[in-house]
Amino acid sequence: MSKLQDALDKIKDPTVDDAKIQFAQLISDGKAASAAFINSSAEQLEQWTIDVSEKTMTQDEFDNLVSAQTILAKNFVASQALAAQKRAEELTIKTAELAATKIVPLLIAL
Amino acid sequence: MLKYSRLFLTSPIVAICTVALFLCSCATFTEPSSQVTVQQLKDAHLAFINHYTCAQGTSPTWDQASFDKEVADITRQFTDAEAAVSKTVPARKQFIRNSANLFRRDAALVQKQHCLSPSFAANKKKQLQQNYDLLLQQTSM
Repeated sequence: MSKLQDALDKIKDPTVDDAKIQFAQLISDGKAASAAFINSSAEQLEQWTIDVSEKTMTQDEFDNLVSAQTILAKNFVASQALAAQKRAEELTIKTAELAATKIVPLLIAL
Repeated sequence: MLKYSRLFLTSPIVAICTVALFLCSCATFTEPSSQVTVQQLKDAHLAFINHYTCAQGTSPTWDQASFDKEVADITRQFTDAEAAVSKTVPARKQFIRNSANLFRRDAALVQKQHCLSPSFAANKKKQLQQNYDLLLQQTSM
């Protein structure tokens, strides 16, 4: 089992089951994407989530990384062809937002 | 001198080529200097993160005056770098503005926590590396 799945399994709240599945899927899609930026974003977000679950990083530190990545991702998304922008946004900005709002607060609270 | 003036007058193509060559040589001269500037911003930002990373097992010693001075110095480097970029390359200007914004956020986090976890520092350095390398690629194009 992957370290990310281990981290997600620590969350027992059934109301976020869908969010956990969606998050794991988006990370997997991002890591398989051909664009280097999306790839690296997904890998980094996965690592940050693992670090938070292992209590080696604070919520403020996680939020700092996510907000910075959002700034970088906006530049990247804007540089993509119009047709690819929605998916690029989903795999970078939306995935980070999902982690910040649904996953990480519960991992911090454990 | 008169001979060259006559050459320009008689051959507009030669004149256009000369001006174009001159402009190209200007670009060649300014690109390396802008690369050096970006490299300096990157080094300063990464050094700041290193400086405020908590050493494991020791409590941080906090010096507000030294922190303020360091932040002001690096902020000035960003301001100068942005001012030095021509308005004709708005993307590069925006990139430097974004990087300055990232630095402000990092400084605010250090101000709040007084030191950064080694795990955060490692992740942050990876993120900054990606950001500045993209900017360095832009300036080398």
